[in-house]
Amino acid sequence: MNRRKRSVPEGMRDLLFEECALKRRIERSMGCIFEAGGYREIITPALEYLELYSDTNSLPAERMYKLFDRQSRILALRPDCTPAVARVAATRLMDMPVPLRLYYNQNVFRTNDTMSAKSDETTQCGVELIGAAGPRADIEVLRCALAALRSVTDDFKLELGHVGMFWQLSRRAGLSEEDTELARFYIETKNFAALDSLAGEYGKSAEGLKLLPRLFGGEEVFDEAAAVSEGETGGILAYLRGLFDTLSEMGYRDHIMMDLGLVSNIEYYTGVVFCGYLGGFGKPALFGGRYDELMKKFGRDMPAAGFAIDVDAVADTIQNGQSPLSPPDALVYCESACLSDAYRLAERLQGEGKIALVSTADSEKAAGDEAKALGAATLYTVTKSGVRSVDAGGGFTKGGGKG
Amino acid sequence: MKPLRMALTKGRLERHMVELFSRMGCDCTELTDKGRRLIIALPELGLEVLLAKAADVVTYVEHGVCDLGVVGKDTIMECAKPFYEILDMGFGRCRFAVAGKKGGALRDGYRKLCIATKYPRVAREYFDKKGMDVELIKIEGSVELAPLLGLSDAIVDIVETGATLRENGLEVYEYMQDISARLIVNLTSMKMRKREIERLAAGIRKAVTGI
Repeated sequence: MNRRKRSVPEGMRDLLFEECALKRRIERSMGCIFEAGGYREIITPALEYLELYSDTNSLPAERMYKLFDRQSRILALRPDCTPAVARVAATRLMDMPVPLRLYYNQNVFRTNDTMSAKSDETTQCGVELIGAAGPRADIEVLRCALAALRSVTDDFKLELGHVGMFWQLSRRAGLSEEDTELARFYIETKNFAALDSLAGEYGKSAEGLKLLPRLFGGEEVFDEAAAVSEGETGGILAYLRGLFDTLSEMGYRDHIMMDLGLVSNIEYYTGVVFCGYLGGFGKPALFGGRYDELMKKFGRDMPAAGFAIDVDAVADTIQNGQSPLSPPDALVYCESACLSDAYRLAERLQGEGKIALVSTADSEKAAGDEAKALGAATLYTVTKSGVRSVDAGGGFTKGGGKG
Repeated sequence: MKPLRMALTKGRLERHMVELFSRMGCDCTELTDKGRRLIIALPELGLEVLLAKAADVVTYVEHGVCDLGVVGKDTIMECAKPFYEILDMGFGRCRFAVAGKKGGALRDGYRKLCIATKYPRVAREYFDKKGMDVELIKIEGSVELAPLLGLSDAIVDIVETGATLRENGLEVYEYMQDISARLIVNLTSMKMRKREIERLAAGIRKAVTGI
């Protein structure tokens, strides 16, 4: 027997029982929050032309799963949801009034290093607000992200930055193209020493850039950023301050952090960027921002912003507090002539909100064993002369009944 | 409060860290006489410390099971994982270099060279940048053997004093990059436990540089 058919490729995994229940619960709760805010769901194809992603500065091509279509054109398995949503907004939704409020709940596929214990298939749910700009639009998206995180746990932080800070400061410093990339990497990894020595070569004009990765934390960041509060970066700071104050007023003060050194590795962001953290999880569980240049690539020049939540990351953080699924309340066994009565009984119990199933065993003894194995609370036996029920010893309330 | 958990690289860097913690006023007997214990508490520093191989330090910090780690820049470059690298510890200094048999050269006409290394990613990136097409062979230890046995034309490795190279009739062709130990921090820990990490990092910086 070929061994491969009994295993799954690296990076893929089966989700069972409690894992599914938890994941679906998170997806439903996110969906409810989005729909309550007037967002409507769309589903886009899992397979699209590679160009959808490569021409929109989504992920690097080597992180995508690729295959060929019927005419040998290259397709990519969805690595990111935003480009396809933008495509739909620019094409099929062309005549709809803006702003468009769209949400999705779809799987994305990205290759990871081998042996990294990372899933290549994860579920993202997120929203896109297309056709609106300015503080009102940014607040709407940020508040939606905060509400989504809050629905999961109280131990969360949303971190706020703006890609303009980096671009303005590197322009001010006069960084060469190559050094801009390096500086971006050093800021992203908070490599203070390397950034200092790189910026040192550019003298006084690069002082602001040096400061950037250090400017993270709470409200105090706005004071610490005084040195870069002139010119365009001053405008950005004032804008962020406005967002910070509004979100604080909404009761999210303790959950908002600033990181002016937040530079995204997804290149299409043009303005506000933000990142959500859940306590106890090693990587960000939410990522989003403003991408005002993306829609233009599909022939419809409009501002837009959105975010995606990594549902699997959220599930990982709350896995431990999760209760096991309930065992069945009832197993129904019947004599062979009474099958329809057995199903009638099971359906009645189900109608009462119980989990009830009909045994496939052909003897009462085997059905008794099955009830034990399932951890069912009650075993019903349906015969010509009537229905008997016995306590099968399982069920939640009896304790230890998990089979 | 829950202590911060720090992964230290076993061996040479470990001794530097013991000395550093002592300078910070911490009693390190638990750490030096740890026996078979794997996780050691250093309550004076608000730390829980464990010792691991360099590449594992990076893995633990990346996944967030350790908040911080101390590891060489060579391992950081080879692993290329996401985390913050916030402090140059100043010790564990050495350099990445290309080396080969004495009298040889890194270029030999149009012949494609073969390079043996423990650091294939670092080597690949370096030669890509130089526009040199080379063949790489991954070797796990004593890389110096490869050119001596005729398996490779040169090696990419970390060089501290160059004594091993000299004793085996090898020499450095080119220095690539300075290496030293770094303090790395998990992405989420940096944000969720900023104050504690900054306090600790400031203490370490003071002990390392005196300022």
